[in-house]
Amino acid sequence: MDNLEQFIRDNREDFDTKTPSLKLWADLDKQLPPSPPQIQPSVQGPVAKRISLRRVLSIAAAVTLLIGFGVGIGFSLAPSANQQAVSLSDISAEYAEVEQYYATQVSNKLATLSTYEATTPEIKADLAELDQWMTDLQKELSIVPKSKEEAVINDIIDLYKTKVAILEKLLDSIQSSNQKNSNQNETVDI
Amino acid sequence: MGDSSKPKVKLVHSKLQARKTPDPLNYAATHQEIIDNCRQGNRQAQFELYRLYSKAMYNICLRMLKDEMDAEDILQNSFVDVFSKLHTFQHQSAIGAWIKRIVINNCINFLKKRRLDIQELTDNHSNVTEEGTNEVPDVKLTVEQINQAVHLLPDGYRVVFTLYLFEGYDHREISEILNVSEATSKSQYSRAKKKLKEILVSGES
Repeated sequence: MDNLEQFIRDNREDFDTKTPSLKLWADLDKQLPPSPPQIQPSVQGPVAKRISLRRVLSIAAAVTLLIGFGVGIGFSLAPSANQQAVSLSDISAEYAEVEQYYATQVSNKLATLSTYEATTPEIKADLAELDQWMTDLQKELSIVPKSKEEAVINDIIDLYKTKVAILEKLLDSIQSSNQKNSNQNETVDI
Repeated sequence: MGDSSKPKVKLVHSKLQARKTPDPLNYAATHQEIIDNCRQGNRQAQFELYRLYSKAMYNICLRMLKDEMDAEDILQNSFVDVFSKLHTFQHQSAIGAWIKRIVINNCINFLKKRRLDIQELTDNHSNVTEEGTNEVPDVKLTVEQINQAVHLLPDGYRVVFTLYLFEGYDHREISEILNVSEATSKSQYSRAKKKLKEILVSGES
């Protein structure tokens, strides 16, 4: 092995200097098939609906716990300075684009959801709680040191994705139970 | 509710761990939980896998293709392939190595469409310099200089050089990836290295 080979092998990780743009995930996200609804097949439409809603709520609870843990750590490490919520668009134009993308997804899905009557107070409360965590993370972003910024930004993006996923699951479960009700008179060959 | 708290804690741990060790080059890592969830189409898990490997894979694409737009296109297509083929992943290798192979194959196919010909360069150069005979004399090597010099190599040289030295494949593996003989891989590599040193030396003066 000569000095050039030695140098490259010794410093291999330093050669990966570039990072793909954040928009790449957003584009990829559009290309991937949507997460499957994961609904238990059941002849009783309303029961199926209740199961899947419960499932959604349990996911929401898990997410809440998860993010709560992260934010808890964040706050315990952070000085109790003045906290001003900061959105991703304040960080860079690229983050603004990502935020815009997810915010649009969330608002589209919320708009669709509002056309159904199935939105229970529990779901509304859960969604409100997610909003609260978002605000908390944005506050954290304003006080976090530069070195930890990326971790908080990742949490915010995760939270957006989680919210979109929860809304998707909700819509899927509502739409498929509606479908089932309208299909009840059809015969199916097994 | 009591028994359901366990997986949540586990999830938190794996998440924190992923954050603490953001080592995209750790190709040996298994990330079993993430893979299982990806296979079920879980978008959160897919994002996690993307986040773990996208940077390293992007830099491979950049070294192979040089152009940032091309590199992003191939990276995106590769991750679509990764998620659609993940059910075929049998743990015969680490997940990072498996993803890397998909990325590299896509880069090679892309270059082939642009008439990459490994064999062609062999025919034009008859005398092969023995490996290790020409050290880079008194040149302070820097990452930046080498990255630039690698970009100046002809496609055929650059591909073999990066596969061997940056991605750690041996000549037998490279011969399979590029569908050339092992001897061709070896001779292309030593020519590439010689050329790279010339570029580095001339750039220094």
